[in-house]
Formats: sequence, structure tokens, C-alpha cells
Amino acid sequence: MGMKPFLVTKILPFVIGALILISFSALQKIIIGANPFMIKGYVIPFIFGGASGIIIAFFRKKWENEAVRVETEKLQAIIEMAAAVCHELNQPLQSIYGYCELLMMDLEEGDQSYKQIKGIKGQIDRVGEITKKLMRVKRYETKDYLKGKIIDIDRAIE
Amino acid sequence: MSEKKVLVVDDEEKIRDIFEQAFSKAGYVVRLAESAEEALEILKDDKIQVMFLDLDLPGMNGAELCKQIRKDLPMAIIHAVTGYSPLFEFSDYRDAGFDVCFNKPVKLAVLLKAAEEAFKKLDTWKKR
Repeated sequence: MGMKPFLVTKILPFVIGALILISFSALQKIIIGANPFMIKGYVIPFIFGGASGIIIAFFRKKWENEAVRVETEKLQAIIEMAAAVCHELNQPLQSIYGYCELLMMDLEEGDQSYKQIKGIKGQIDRVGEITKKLMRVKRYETKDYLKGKIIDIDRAIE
Repeated sequence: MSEKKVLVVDDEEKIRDIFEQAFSKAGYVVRLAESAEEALEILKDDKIQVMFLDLDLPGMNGAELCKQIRKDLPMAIIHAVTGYSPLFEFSDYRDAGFDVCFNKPVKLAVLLKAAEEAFKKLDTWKKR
């Protein structure tokens, strides 16, 4: 471990913990009317406070790492699910889109069927845009939906 | 004028059917394969220079197929047509030897344009 991490993870929490308990000890002496400068009354608070500081810092770091790990796993699961959905959806979309284009090749633009098939193509384009967005998900962002939450795709790709 | 052939490799029957109809209407001769192995068999006797390969194939995948094809047909113009393609993997397609990558659903007009440009490029190279 380098000097700076050692200072931050071990020395600093020890000093903070020790100072807090020493302050309480001094306050206690003042309240009961004892001499606040009696050194032997500070030894145990110093050790105990310092040790508590290190323990609290250790668990705080552990909980932070655990929270980061959980968020990372959540995001990874979302990305993998999005990839599977995109891949599976894009195959039938290609078929539907392709058959629409083939039909339109044999119709006149003014034909009612041409317009309706063009409408179908437009909706497939829309689904295609959604799958393209899903492929770009890189953050875990949610929005409220009825009684629960769903992924906010637009924010998740920013 | 020699006939212009394209090879379409996709394990989805409907997609092969659609691409065959589209390319045939545009005047191309279309060879179809539903797997990489079938494609390599076709290419043993028929040195097709313009290809459209799906990436997710049973057995050997499209990227491996492209690498194999490049060994015998280094000048072929090979297009990837895939259902899932995050942008950050684009360099992987180039490393595999693909010239262009399309994401499904892709417009038939785009594929036809790509085939037209591929044959123009090949004609230009032949004239040199």
C-alpha cells in the first residue's frame, strides 16, 4: 500500500476517532469539575477512539465497494438483456421490413395498399430506433411507471 | 456481359428469401447458404466476389467465415449484416475482414446500393 492510501485509510481515521473521544473525555472532566489536563485520563479514549475510527473507516469502505459492485452487476445485467432483446427482435423486424419493401416494389405510389404498407414500414422504423437505443445503454437510470419503475432508455444512453 | 453474382449467408429462411427476391429483381444471380460451412462449399467452385453475411450463424460464426473467405478471395467485397452491433465493436468487424457492416433491420435499397457499388469497385480494379 502506498503512503497516501495508508494515511487516508489508517492514520486519518485513527486520529479523527482518537480526537473525538479525547474531546468527550475533556468535556466529561470539565463537567465533573476535574482537572482537564490530567494525561492518564486520555490514554484509553485515545486508543479506543483511534481503533474505533479505523474499524468504522474499514466497514464504510467495504459497504461503499459492495454498493458499487451491486450497481455494476445491475448495469451489466441490463446491457446483456438489451443485447439479447436487440438481436432477437431485429431478425423478425428485418423479415417484416423486407416483405413490406418487396410488396411496395410492385405497387404504385398512389395505391391505397402502398400507403398502408408504407405505414407499416414507418412503425418498423420506429421499433428499429428503439432497438438502436437499447444497443447504446450504458447507465442504470429508471423512471416511474404505474406502481413500479422501468428503465429510462433515453437517460440510460446519455 | 458476365453475370453478377452475390452470395447471401443467413440462417433465417425468411431473410434469405427476401434478399433473394430483392437481388434477383435487381438483376443479380443469387446464391444462398444457411451456414458458414455451406457457404464455403459454394465458394469452392463458384468464386463469388460480393457477399452478405449474417454474423450469428450455427457452427462457425460470420466473422470466422469472413476470415476463411479472405484467405482465398482477398479482393472480395464482404458485407456483414447483423442483428446486434454496438458501435464499439466496429473495429472487430474490420479485423475480421468485413468491408461494411449493416445493422438489421436494413433497407433493401441500402443493400442493393451496396451491391451496385461493390461491382463498380470490382470493375475498376479489373481495368487496372
